[in-house]
Amino acid sequence: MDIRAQVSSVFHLDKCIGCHTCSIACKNLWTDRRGNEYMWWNNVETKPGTGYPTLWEDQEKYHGGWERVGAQLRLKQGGRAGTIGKIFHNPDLPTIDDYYEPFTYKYEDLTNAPAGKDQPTARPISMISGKPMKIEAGPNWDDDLSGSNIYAANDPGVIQLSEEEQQQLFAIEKMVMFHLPRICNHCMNAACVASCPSGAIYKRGEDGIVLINQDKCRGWRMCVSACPYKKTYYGWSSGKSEKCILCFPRQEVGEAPACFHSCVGRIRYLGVLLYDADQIEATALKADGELPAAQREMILDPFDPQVIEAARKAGLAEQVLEAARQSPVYKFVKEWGIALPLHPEFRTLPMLFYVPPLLPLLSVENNGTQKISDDFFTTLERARLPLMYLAGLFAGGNQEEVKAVYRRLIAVRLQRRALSVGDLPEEALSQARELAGLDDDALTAIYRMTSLTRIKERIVIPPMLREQAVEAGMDPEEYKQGMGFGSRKAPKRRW
Amino acid sequence: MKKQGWRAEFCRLVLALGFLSLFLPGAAVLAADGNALHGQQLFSGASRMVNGGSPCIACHALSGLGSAGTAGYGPDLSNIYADYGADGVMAVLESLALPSMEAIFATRPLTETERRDLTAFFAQAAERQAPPVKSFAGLILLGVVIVFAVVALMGLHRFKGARKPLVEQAKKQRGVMQ
Repeated sequence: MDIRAQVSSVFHLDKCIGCHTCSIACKNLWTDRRGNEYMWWNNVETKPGTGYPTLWEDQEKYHGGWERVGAQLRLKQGGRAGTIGKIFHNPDLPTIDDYYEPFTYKYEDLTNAPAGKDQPTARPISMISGKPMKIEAGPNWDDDLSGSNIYAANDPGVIQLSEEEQQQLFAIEKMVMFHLPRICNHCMNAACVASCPSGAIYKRGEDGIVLINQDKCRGWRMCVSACPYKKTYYGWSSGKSEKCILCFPRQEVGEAPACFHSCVGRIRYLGVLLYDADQIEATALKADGELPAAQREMILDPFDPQVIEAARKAGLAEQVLEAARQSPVYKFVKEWGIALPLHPEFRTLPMLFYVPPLLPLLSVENNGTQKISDDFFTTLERARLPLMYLAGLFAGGNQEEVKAVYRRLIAVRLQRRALSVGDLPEEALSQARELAGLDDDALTAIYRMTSLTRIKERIVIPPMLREQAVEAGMDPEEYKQGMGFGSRKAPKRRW
Repeated sequence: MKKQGWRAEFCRLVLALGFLSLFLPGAAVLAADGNALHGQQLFSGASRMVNGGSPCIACHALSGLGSAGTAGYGPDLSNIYADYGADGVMAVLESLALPSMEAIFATRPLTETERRDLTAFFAQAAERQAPPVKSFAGLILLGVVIVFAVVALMGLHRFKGARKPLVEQAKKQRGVMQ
């Protein structure tokens, strides 16, 4: 057993209101530099929709992630020979139009334009060419436009649905959409790390955060195509690739990452998970539909004495184990089983989990007034989203996984209805509990964690213990005097 | 401007001195007793110039040296001896006051032995009366064009983009709705 700790997250999609505060917090903090305008380490997209960059989920186009070749895992974009073969002309990169051409507005015209007959306007200006432009796309272009015949209809998840299911999605007055906030998944089996010809990308040993060493990166951009989530980006001014760093400098001083901290809907949960790194390859080789369960299997119980013993042997600090025991992510993923990984079939074993959306109640028109429909709680059969669509997103096509989660979420709804309105027979409740496989306490705990907790319970940052991590490699005093600010190494060529 | 004027002045002076030196007695005698073999080594870079000047072959073509002797930056030297004679060649080698050579040889002049050896080598080359060197420039250019064309063909459909085709397709199907 090779036990490691990983800072992982849960996003609760029923709580996301699509306000993009997370994206803005991240942009202002990390990517407002020149050459980085187009990149959104955190973005919120609308589902159904083609996302950002366009059609990122379509790996027949971008060749991201892993595939099984016999009993082995191989990068979909090709092995080492394949990577070197296209090192000067990687054909799988998204174009800038697939992200969007970043723009601003000529605001100074509003105040400085010479007096005239017309109101001055602020024209859109391209941040690439500096010239006036027509805005045709944006990072959240399909926002709230989920009926669009360009973006929603071409969602790879929608295309694989049956005709009937597609009609259900887009039926008038029943049309359905939800928001999907995305950051780097800090995968256990990250494809970006494996694809880098310079060896610049690494997964931090103590917390599993995936980082790009800016000194080593040579800007080959193999990670951009290899990451199936398109969460590494090329910085056009620095000539290096960049990605979400899970705000590790903030976490090291005990602050939540900016997108977590600023989240208005409080949808984001963060905590440590312990996992067995020896099982990574075997898990990633499972069949598509078995992947979510296999990944849950890898995550270890931090209360199990055997696990604790092995973790101590592996050098994990007591404080980290304590943080793992309080981790809300462990509860969501393992204890309650209501959070699933996004597109597990890419086989990178993403460590960001989503609670699938049950979606708000549907109202019906009744003699000119809107009323909440009779079956106020959604039953599995009356789910607003086709289960196949959700299974395609969160379970590698395995509907049983989504059903299990939905049964638990429905049980929570029923329990709260019984408590606050009291119009449900006890047998309906016990039946729901039995189907969900959770007892009353667990349902209450889910309700509490979903709606009442404060930031310290939602976001449990383990002590990062940087001083100990440094000590393992070199004398801390020497490190402090030698490293200083900024780039850790002076450039080799200097004249 | 001022600097350039000074340089031109200097060049003119050196050229004039070089021209005068043609009439010095004994120049022709010196040329005759050079070592042609060593001259060839100097020309091709097999032995170094004493003062560190670069070998002639770097810029000049000369027949009889295979495809290594086809450089086209300076003029072809196959027939220099036939054109200028021993005195002329010796004089030019002494000053090398041509604009593109001056930059190298002003501070790294050829020694007298070297000049003599090179002149002897040129004399030997002239005896062979070889035709001027064929230039490969045209062939090389053609090759470069072909390589670029192949690369361009390979990359023709490289960045298709994902969004634009979707928009085009929707436009074709029915009314535009973004």
